[in-house]
Amino acid sequence: MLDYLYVIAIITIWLSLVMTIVTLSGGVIFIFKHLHHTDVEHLPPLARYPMVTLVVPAHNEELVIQETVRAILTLNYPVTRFELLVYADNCQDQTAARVRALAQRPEFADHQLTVIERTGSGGKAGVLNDALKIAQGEYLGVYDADAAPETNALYFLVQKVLEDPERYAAAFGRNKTRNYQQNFLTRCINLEIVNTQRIQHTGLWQLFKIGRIPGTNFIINKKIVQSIGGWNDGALTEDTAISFSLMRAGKLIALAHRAEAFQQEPETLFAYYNQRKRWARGNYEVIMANVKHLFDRTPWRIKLEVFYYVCTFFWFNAAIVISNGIFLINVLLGTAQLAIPGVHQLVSLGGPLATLFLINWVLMFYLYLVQMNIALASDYGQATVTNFLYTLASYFTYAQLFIVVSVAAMADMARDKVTGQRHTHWYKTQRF
Amino acid sequence: MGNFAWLLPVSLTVTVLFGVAVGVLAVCWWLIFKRTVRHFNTEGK
Repeated sequence: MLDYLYVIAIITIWLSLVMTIVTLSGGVIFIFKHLHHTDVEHLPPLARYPMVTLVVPAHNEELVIQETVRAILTLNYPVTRFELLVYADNCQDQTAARVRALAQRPEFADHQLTVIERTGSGGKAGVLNDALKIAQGEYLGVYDADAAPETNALYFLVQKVLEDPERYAAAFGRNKTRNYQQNFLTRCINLEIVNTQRIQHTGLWQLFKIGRIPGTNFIINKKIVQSIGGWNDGALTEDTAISFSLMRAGKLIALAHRAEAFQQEPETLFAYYNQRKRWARGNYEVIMANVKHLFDRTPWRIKLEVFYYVCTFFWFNAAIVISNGIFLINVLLGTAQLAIPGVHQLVSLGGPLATLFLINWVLMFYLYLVQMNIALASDYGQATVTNFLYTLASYFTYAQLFIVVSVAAMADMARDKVTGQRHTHWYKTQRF
Repeated sequence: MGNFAWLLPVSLTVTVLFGVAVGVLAVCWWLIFKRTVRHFNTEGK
């Protein structure tokens, strides 16, 4: 029995390697194709400038809201072609007042800025559904309260959707960590984000034209969102849910890799844990709701995406937890064997197989380093010795946190299933 | 692990293929690094 489990674990590792190498290869092709320089000082005018409604959902965001709103109001996009809706959603602080103070400044007098103090439910998805009802734009853009866009972000997003407005229902950009030098955790989060955006997003777009709405720094066709019924109110990860809905409708979510926003990431383990647990649980729920599409007649991109998520969040995760468990028990039994000779280890590998798996492990670590270094080399100012050292350290520390978070999220879901109640406490990500 | 006699040759093949893939990707990293470092440095000036 244990032997079979062991062989399944090995095959699982091989499958995860294939997925990593395929995605990385796609990312490398994308990077090579886009290495040419873009002269951001002399960008050509767009064929047309569609009206865009930018929405900022903000719940007690007085610390960061002004910087974000200022960045949006100074975007390189005609001021008559975009409006900004800032939703102070159930705020108990000065969020709305701070935005209004900014709006009074003479340099922003000609901008269309509305501050709405909201008391409704539904969280971010609820805000976006409210905005959908009053938005004047052809496209709806979303920026989180802590995500300040770079000057040309909207220009690049619009440029991307205009390449094929019929197929591209949405375009999404990249988010960079603006507080990455704060501490060890933010350094590691930055590495993870650089890798996700420079390798995974680009690889999946290059090979399969698959994109995922990242929650901030994206624009989406208003009519298409209305046609699929808007955002799923109360969803823990409204971005994943809407990505699946768009793909089910046969639309694509295009990567506009030059559209950048600077986002704040959690600086404490507590804030990180609660944010990631919410994401993990939200992703589980979306996967459970979509897993049936593996076997029906939905577009192949949905199947591939569901397969990817099922592998990452369920199969690979379970394999890691089980193999770690077996490894720990083996170490304990091995230690006990010194005192009690009758005790045997669960798994004992010897000879050429053990050597091969050791080589596999070394190669896997090497693959991780190559992947991270390709990601860092393709991002301005990230290919540093310091980041390389953090890459080494995060493999043995930060990367392991994912196991804890995903197991905790799974336990929460199991508890809710057993008790028949939904205990979802929304921990707002703390700002600094 | 008598039932799994196939495991050794398959593992060997996978390891060799894996090694080749990692080697090729490492060369890609070097090519990207060389080009971006030059490009970013020029941009900085």
